[in-house]
Amino acid sequence: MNAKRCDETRELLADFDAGLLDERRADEVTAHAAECEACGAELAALKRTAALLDATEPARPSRDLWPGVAQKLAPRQPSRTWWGIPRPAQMRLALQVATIVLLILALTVILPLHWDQGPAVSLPHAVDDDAALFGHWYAQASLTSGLGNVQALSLIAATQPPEAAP
Amino acid sequence: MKPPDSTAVVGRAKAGDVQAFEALFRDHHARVYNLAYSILADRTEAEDVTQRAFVKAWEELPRLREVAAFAGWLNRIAANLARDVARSRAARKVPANHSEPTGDKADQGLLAEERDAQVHRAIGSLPEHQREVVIMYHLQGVPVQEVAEQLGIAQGTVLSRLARGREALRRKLAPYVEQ
Repeated sequence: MNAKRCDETRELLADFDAGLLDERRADEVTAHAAECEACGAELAALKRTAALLDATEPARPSRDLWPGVAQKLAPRQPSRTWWGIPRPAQMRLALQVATIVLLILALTVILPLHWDQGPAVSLPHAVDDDAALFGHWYAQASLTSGLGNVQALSLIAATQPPEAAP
Repeated sequence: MKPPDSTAVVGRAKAGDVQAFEALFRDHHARVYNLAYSILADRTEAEDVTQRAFVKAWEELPRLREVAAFAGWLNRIAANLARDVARSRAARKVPANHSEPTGDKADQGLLAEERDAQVHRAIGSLPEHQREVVIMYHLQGVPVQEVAEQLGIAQGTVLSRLARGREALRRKLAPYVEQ
C-alpha cells in the first residue's frame, strides 16, 4: 500500500468520522479504508473511541450541591465606582446636577438676554381674557380634585379672573 | 438538554432572581461537575469546585454581556477554578484521590468503573475547547446544534473540535479501543 496515501488518509480520518469531508474526499477515504487494512483498523479504532465515550457514565456528584451554593449567594449589590457611589445613585445624582446647572444657566444667562427685547407678543384681549378665566376655573377645579395644593393655589394666584363686564 | 428560553432565565438571574439562578444551576451543574472532575479526577474536589464556580458565576453575572454564551462562560469559570486546585495540589504534592486500574479485578462493575475513570482522566487532559464539547456531546448527549448554541460557536466548529478531541482520545485510550 502507498505509504503517502495512508498518511494522507489518516490525517482525514477524524474529520471523515465527524462528517466534515465533502463527498469526493469522503468517497476517497472510504475506498482507501476498505482496501488498506491498517487505515481500516485506524478508522475502526476511531469509531470505537466514539462508542466508548458514548458508553461512559458521566460523573455524578454524591449529593445535592445547590444548598451549599444557595447559602453563599450574597444579595446582589449594585456595581460600584471607585469612589464608592452605586451606579444607579450616581446616575440620579448626575441628572440632578445637570438639571440644576441648566436652570442656573437659564436664569442667569439666557433669560436676561431676552428680557429687554421689546414688548412681548400678547394675545388679543378677548382671547387673553378667555384663557385667564379658563385657567382660574381649572385651578379651582384642580384644588378640589387632587392637584397638589401648592400648584393649584399658585395657578389661582397667577390667573386672576378677568374683570366682569359691566 | 437546553432548557426553553434559557437566555431569559440567564437575564432574570443576572437581575438578581435567585430562583432563576437555581434553575440555571439545575440545568448546568452536571456539565460543570464533569468538567471539574475530568480535570481533578477527585469527586470531593470536583464538588467543591462546582459549588464555587456557581457562587462566582452569581457574583460575576451582572458583568456578563452575552447572556446567550452563558454555558461557555460558566465552563471557563469552572475550568479555571479546577486548574487552580490542581496546581495547588501539585505544589503540595498531594495525589488525586482516585484508584489506578489494576486490570485483574474480576468484578465487571469495578472494571467498568475503572474504565470510566480512565476515560474521564483522558478527557481531562484535552485542551479546554475540546474537553467541553466532548463532555457535552458524548457524556451528556447534547446534540451538536445545542452544543453550538450553548457555547455560542458554529456547528462546524463543534464537529471539528469533536474530531480533534476523539483523535487525541483514540491515542490516549488505545488499550480500550485497539483490537
